[in-house]
Amino acid sequence: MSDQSTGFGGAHDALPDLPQKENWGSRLGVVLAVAGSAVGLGNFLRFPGIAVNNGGGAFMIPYIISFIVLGIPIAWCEWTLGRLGGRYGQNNAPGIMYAIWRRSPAKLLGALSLLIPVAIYMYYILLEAWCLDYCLFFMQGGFNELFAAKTAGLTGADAVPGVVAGTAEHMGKTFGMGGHGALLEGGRTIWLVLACFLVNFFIIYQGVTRGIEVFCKWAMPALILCAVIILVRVLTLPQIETGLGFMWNPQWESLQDPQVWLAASGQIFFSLSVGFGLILCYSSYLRKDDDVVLTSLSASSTNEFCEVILGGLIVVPTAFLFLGAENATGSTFGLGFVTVPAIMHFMPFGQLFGAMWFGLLFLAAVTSSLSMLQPAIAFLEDGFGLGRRASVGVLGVVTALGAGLTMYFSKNALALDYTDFWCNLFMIIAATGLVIMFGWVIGAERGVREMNRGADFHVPPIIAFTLRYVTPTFLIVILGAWSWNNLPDRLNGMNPEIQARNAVEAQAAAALELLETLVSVLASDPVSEEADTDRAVATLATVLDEVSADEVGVWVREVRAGAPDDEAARAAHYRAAATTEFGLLPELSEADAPLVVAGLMADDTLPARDLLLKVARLAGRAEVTPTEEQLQFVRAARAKMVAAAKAAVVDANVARFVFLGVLLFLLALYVLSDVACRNRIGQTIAAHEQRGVGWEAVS
Amino acid sequence: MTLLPMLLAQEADAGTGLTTAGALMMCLSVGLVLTLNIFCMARILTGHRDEPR
Repeated sequence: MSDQSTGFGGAHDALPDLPQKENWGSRLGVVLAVAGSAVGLGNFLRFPGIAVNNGGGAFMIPYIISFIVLGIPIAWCEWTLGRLGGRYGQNNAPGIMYAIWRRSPAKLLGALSLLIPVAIYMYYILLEAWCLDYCLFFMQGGFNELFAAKTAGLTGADAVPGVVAGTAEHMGKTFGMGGHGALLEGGRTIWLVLACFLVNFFIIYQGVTRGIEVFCKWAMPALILCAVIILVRVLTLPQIETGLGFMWNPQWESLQDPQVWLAASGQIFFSLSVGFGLILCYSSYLRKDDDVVLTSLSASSTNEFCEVILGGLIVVPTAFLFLGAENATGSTFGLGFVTVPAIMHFMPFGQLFGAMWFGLLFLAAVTSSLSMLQPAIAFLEDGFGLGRRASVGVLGVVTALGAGLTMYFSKNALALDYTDFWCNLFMIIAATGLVIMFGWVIGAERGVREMNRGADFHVPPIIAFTLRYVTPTFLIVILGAWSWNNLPDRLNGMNPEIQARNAVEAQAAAALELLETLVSVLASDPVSEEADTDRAVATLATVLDEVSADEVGVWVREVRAGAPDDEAARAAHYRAAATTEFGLLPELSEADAPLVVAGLMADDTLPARDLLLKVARLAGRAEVTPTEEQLQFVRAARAKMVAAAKAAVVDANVARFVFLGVLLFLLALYVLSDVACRNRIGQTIAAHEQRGVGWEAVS
Repeated sequence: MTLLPMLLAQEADAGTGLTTAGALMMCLSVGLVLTLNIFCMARILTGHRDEPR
C-alpha cells in the first residue's frame, strides 16, 4: 500500500544535546495505529448489542449527533495537545500535560491518562488470549465436536438450545467463571495469555515506527479484509433481510428515552478511545507542523467504518437469523463468546468463518493492547531515562502482576468487571478534565489556532465554541448519569454485609419460588394427560437442577395419582405434597417471606427445630410438628445459604481489593509523575524552551 | 411524495423483514460513514492539501 504523505517520515529535527525522538514513519501509519487502538471488541460486539436494545435504526440519530459534538471534537483536542507536548520532547501524558499547564491538576490528569491504559491492559490481555483461544479452537474443529455432543443429531431450530448451551459452557470454562483460581489450575488459557504478552511486548520493544506502525499497517487491513469477507458471506445468506430488519428497523419512540441518548454518547466515547491518553501518546510522535485535523478524522472514521458497517451488519442480523431474537440481544461477552460460535454452527463453512472472525478480533485486540502499553513505556523513558529494554521489563512485571490477579479472581469475571468499571469511570473523568483544560485553561480559540497549524483543512470556528461549552457539558452529563446509573450497584457490590444478605435472600427466595412452582405445576392441568405430565416434569427438572428428570417424573406421577377428585382437596393435596417433599411451609409465600426465612436461616445459633417453629408462628400457625425430612431440608438449605453468604463476602472483598488497588496505583503514578515533572521532565521541557520552542505554557 | 409515508405505514404492522424505514436508516448510516471514511482516506493516501504549508 503506497503512502504518498507529506511532511511525515524522515529524521526528527531534534535539537542538539536533547534525546533523539521517534516519529511516525508515514501518515497512513499513524492513522492505522490510532484506528487500531480504537477498533476492538466494542466495535464488533458492543455496538450492535447496544444499538438493537436502544431503538435499532433510530439509535443512529443520537449516535451520529454524539459522534459530531462529542467524538470528533475530543479527538481533535487530544491530537492537538499530544502534538504540542511532543514539541517539548514529551511523549508521556504527565509530561505533555505539565508542558502545557504547570499545575498539580495537570499532573493528576497525566497520571490518570497513564493509569487507565495500563489498568485496562491488565484485563484486556485476557480478552486477547480468549480470542486467540477461540480462533485456535475453531481451527482444530473443537466446536464441531462440542456441538455434535450437545445436539445429539438434532438440526435446525431444535438444535439451537443445545448449541447455545454448549457455547455458554465452553465460555464459562475458558473464562474460568466457575470459581476463583480456575484459570490457574490448568488448561491452555494461561499459556495463551503468556504468548499474547510476548507478542505485545516484542512489538512494543521494536519501538513506535518499527514495531507499532509496521504491525498496524498490515494488521488493520488484514482484519478489515477478514471482516469484509465475512460480511459478504452474511449479506448473501438466504433471508438475511429478516436479521437486518431486527437490527435496523427503527423504533422511533425510543428517541424519547434519555437512556438511549446516554447509551449512544457512551458508545461513541468508549468506542473512539478518546480523552484518556492513548491518542495523546500517539500524536506526540507527530512533528510540529504535521496535520492533526484530517489525520484525526481519518482515524475516527475508520473506527466508525468498523463499527457501523462491519459491526452493525454481521453479528446481530446473523444471530437473529439462526438463533432467534432471544439470542441476538446479549451483552458484549454473551454475543461475542456464546452467540457467535453458535451462529457458526448453522452457517455454511462455519468453521472457516469462525476461525477468521476470532482471528480478526485477536488482531483488533493486539492493536489496542499496543496502544495501552506505549504511554507507560514513554513515561518510563521520558520521566526516568530508562532505556527501551528496562522500560519494557518494568512494565512487563507490573502488568503481569495485575493480569495474574485478574486471572486468579476469575469467578464471574469479577476482577475484570470491576477493573473495567473503575477504568470507565476514570475515562470519563479524564476526558472531561482534558476538554476543560483545552477549552478553559488554554482557551478554546487559542487551542483551535494550534489545532489548525499545518492542517489539511481548518476546523470550523464553531469547534471552539463546542469545545468550550457543548462538549464539557455533554461529558459532565454523561459522567453524572453514568455514575447515577452504575455507582450505587457497584458500591453495594463492595459491601460484604449487603452481598451476604443478598446471597442468603436469593437462596431463600429461590426455595420459596421452588415451592410455588411445584404447587402450580402439579395443580395446573388435568392429571390424565401424559403430555402435560411430561411438560411438568421438564419444567421441574429445569427448576430442580440437582434432581434428575427421572426422579421428578416418578414423584410427579405418584403425587398426581394420589390426588382426590374434589378440586379444592386436590389443590390442598398438591400443596401438602410439595411442602412435605421440600420441607417449606406454604404460608410463607408472602412478599416479605424470603427476608424472614433468610434472617432465620442465617442465624447459626438457632436450631433447625426452633427455626421451623418460628417460621410456623410467623406464618400464623400455632402448632407444628416438624418431620425429620423437614429438619434435614432446613439444615441442608442453611448450609447452602452459609456457603453462598461466605462466597458473597469473598466476592465483595475482591471488589474492594480491585478498587483499592486501582486507587493506590493512581496514587503511585501521581507521585511518580510529580517526581518526574520536578526533575527529568521539567528539565527537558526547560531545555526545549531555552532552544525556542515557542508555545507559552499556562502557569 | 406520498409513497414513502404509505410504505412506512403499511410496514409498521408487518413486524418482520427489513422495512423501508429500516433500510433507509441502514443505508444512510452506512453511506455516511463510508463517504466520510473514503473522503478522509483518499486525502491521506493522495497527500492532498487545500493550501500549501
